[in-house]
Amino acid sequence: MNSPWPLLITLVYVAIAMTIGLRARAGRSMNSLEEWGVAGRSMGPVTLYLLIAAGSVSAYTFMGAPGWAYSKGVAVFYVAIYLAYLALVAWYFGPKVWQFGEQFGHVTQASAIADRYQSPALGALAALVMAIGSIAYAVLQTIGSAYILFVMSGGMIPIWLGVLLVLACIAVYLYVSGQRAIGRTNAFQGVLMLVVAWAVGLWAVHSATGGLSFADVFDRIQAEHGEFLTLPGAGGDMSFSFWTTSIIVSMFSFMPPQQQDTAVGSDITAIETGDDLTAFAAWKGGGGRGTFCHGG
Amino acid sequence: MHRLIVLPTSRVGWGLLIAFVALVVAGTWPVIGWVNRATLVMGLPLIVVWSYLVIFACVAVMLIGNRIVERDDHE
Repeated sequence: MNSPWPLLITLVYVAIAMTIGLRARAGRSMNSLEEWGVAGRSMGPVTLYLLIAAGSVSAYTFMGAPGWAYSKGVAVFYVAIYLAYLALVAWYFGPKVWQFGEQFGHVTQASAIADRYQSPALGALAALVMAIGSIAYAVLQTIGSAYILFVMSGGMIPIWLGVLLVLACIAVYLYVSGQRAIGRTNAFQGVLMLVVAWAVGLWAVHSATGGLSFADVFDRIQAEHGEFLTLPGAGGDMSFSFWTTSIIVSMFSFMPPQQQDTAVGSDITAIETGDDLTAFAAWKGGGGRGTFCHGG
Repeated sequence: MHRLIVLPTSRVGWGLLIAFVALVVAGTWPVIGWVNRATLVMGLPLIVVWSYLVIFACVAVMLIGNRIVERDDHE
């Protein structure tokens, strides 16, 4: 490893997130499932916005999507489109789900479905499907986070150890502070990611062109590699059918367990205000996870 | 009575439904094929600009929807 700084910065970040997560409890008793699982249904609009934004900005967003954009070009913008549609769907259903959950005391998506359709079997099926789906997403995020630790430590922290560290951190603050820990750490993560994403983007543009205008980047791409500016992308595999089916399938994936809990746990005034539209605009399908699971 | 599809019952509701469908159409095939050209608009690829338009249009629909809901609540 050439420099200790990357690992040091990463560990400081982990320490800050752990502190925020552990302090999120703020003296409240976590003996109630409603308090632990959905933060007493009391999240405000700003926390909700940052929570959902961080929830949407995952390991995929920080590593997968840029890699795809680099190798395939603008075809990756299907993600931006489906996120907007997802927001529309969530905007319509979110307040209804919250009210329903608040009225009948639901703290999980499965219980809401079982109650709404008067079918315990359907609720059980929903729980099973979401559990399996969440495992896939959690593995993706955890491996992504562990990989970042691996790179930042110059190979000192192997992937398997990184996975254990990430899961241990999440388990500790989740046990202590419940959904409040997720809300606070995600808010921290959301701010950090917005700042870092813009800073890295502008830095990359400046490095490539000497200025801060993205137009220069695209001018060069158009002149040298025009295939990056259209479907099916530079790899030739992002067809119209891929674009369309991915969008339509993804736009209805708005209620994985974590975001169901977010809807259930948020302040209804936050959901109903126009401000929250932006929050829902950041919504995308994703599973339950803590800060580090977002790609750290 | 159980209905498979619940349709809007007001003109505003129909308007929002049509807006929703129009937005989905705007971002998918075949419409996306019409903007699938390697040209730049304001320095950005056409498909990127179109994507931004779709995103802002979604925000606009939600804002209008909220206003309508607020207005109905007051009445």
